[in-house]
Amino acid sequence: MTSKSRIRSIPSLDVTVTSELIQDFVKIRVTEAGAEGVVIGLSGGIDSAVVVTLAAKALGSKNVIPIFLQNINSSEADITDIKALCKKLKLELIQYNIQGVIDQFSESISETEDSSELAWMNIKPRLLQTYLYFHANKKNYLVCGAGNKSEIMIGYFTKYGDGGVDILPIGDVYKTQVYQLAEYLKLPKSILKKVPSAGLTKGQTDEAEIGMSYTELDSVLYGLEVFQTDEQITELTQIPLSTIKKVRSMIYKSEHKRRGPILFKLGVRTPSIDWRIPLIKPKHI
Amino acid sequence: MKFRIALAQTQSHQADPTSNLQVISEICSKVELDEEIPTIVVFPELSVTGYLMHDDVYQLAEPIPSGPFSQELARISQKNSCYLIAGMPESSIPGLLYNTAVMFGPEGFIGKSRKIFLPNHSVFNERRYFRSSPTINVINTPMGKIGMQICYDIFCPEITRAHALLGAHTSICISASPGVRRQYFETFIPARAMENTINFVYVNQSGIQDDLIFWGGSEVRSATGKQIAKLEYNKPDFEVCTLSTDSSQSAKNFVPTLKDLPSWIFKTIEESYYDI
Repeated sequence: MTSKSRIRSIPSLDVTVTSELIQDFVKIRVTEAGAEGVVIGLSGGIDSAVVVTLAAKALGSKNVIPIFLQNINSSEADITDIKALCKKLKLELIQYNIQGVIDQFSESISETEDSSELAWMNIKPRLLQTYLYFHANKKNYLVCGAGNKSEIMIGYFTKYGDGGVDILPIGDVYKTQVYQLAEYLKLPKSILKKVPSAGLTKGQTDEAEIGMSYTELDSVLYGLEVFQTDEQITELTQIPLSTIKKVRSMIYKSEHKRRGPILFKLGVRTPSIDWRIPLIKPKHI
Repeated sequence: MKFRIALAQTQSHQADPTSNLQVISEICSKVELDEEIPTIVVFPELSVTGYLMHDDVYQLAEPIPSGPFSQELARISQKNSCYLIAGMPESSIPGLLYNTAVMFGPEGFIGKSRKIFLPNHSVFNERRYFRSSPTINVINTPMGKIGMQICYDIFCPEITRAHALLGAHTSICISASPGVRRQYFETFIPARAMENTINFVYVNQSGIQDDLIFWGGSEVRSATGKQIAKLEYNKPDFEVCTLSTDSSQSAKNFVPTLKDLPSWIFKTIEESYYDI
C-alpha cells in the first residue's frame, strides 16, 4: 500500500439531507433577519458555485444577486463559467472591473501594487465586501459567504474580506465534501475540474499555497475534530507528523480570524463573552 | 388499559412563548379524540419557550403550575379534553431554575419532572442556567404511572430503570437534540424500552434555532422494543399511535429483567462512584 492510498477520506456527506438543511438554513436566516434575499460574490470556483446554486433553490432566482469583480488576475475561464452558471440558474449577474479602483487606491497612498505582498492581496477581498454590502444594504439583503470548513479552520481567508459576511452556509462542510455537494447539484464539469485558487495573484493555487492537498488537509482536520492525537492521525493516514503540526499551527495562528474583535471583561455581562441572547428578536421584546 | 400518544414534533420559536403556546393550542385543537381512549399530546423539551433562549431564560422561567404559561397549558388541556406534556423552564425560588417536563389534563395539573442530566459540553450550556433535579419521580395519571425524562437523561440508563422500578408502564422522553446525536438516541430509545420492559416515547424538537439543527425523528417503542411510530427527520411532523398499559406487564413475563435484577449491583455502582 502506498502512502498516498493510506490517506483516509473523511466521512461522506448525506448530500440530499445536507443540501436540504443548507437551503433551510439560508431561508430561515434570511426570514428571521427580516431580509429579502442574499448577495453572493462569485469567483468561478466550486465553493461559490455550490452556495449560489443552493441559495437560488432556497430563495428563488429573483432573491439572489450574484456579483463578480473582475481584476487584472481574473481568468477568461472563470468569467465564462460564472456567466454560464448564472444563465442556468436564471440569475442576473452584476459584473464590475475593479482594477481602476485598485489603481486609484495605489495612487492615493503613493505605493505601487505588489500582488505578492499580503497587504495588497487583501485589498481585493475587502473591496469585494464593500461592493457586496453596498448592494445588500440597498436591497435589504444579507451577504452570503462561500467559505468552507477547511479554509475557515486554517484561516485561509481575508479577515473582513471574504470572511466578512452575514452567513456561511457551507462553513461546516470540508472542501472535499463540497465536491460531493457539487456533484449532487450537477454543477458543470469545468467548475468541478478547476484547480482551486483564491484568484488573488496570477497562477496562484490553494494547495501550493497551503502546502498540502485538500485531501491531506481534510484528513488532518477531521482527525483533530474528533479529538485524535497526532500519532493516531499519522497511524491512520500515513500523513507525516510534521504536516499535522503545521495544520495545528495554522489553526492556532488564525483563531483571531474566526472570532469577533477581542475585548476583555469589565462589567457584569460582557458583549460576545457572557451577554448571551438569541440571534433573533423574540416577540416579547 | 389503552391510551393514545400524539407525537407533536414542533419547531419552537426562540424565547417566544406566545407563539409557541399558540402552536400548542392549534395542535391540541386538531387532534381527533377517541371517546373511549384518552390521548396524551407530547411536545418537545422547552417547547413553551424554545430551546435556545440563552439569558432570556431568567425572564421566561416561572413557578409551575401557578405561572401564566402553565395556566395557559392547563386551559388548552381542559378546552381540548386531552392530556398534554410540554417542556418549560421552571423557577422554583428566585434564581433557582429547572429544565422541566409538565403534564396537564382536563382536570388540571397532573405532575412535573425536572431534568437530571444537564449537558454542559459541545454546544450545550445547561448548567449555566439550570439546577439538576435531586430526585427521580413518576407521575400518577388516570392512565397509570408514567415516567418523564428530558433529552440527555436518556444517556443515563438508571433513570428509565428507576421509572420501571417505581411502577411506570411508560417512560416519556422530551428532547431538543441537534443532528450529530441522532445515532446515540436511535440506539438508546429501543434499548431503554427493551432492557426495562417499558413503553418508551421520544419527542424531539425539529428545525433550526440559532446555529443548531434539531433532527426530529421522534418515535415510540413498545415494551418489547417494537417500533410503533416514527416521525420525519429535521422537520415538524405529527402522528398519533396507541399504546397499552398492559404491554409492559406481558413483556415482563417474557423478559423478566426487573425480577432478575439483583440489588447488590446498585451497591457496587454507588461504591465505585465514590472511588473514582
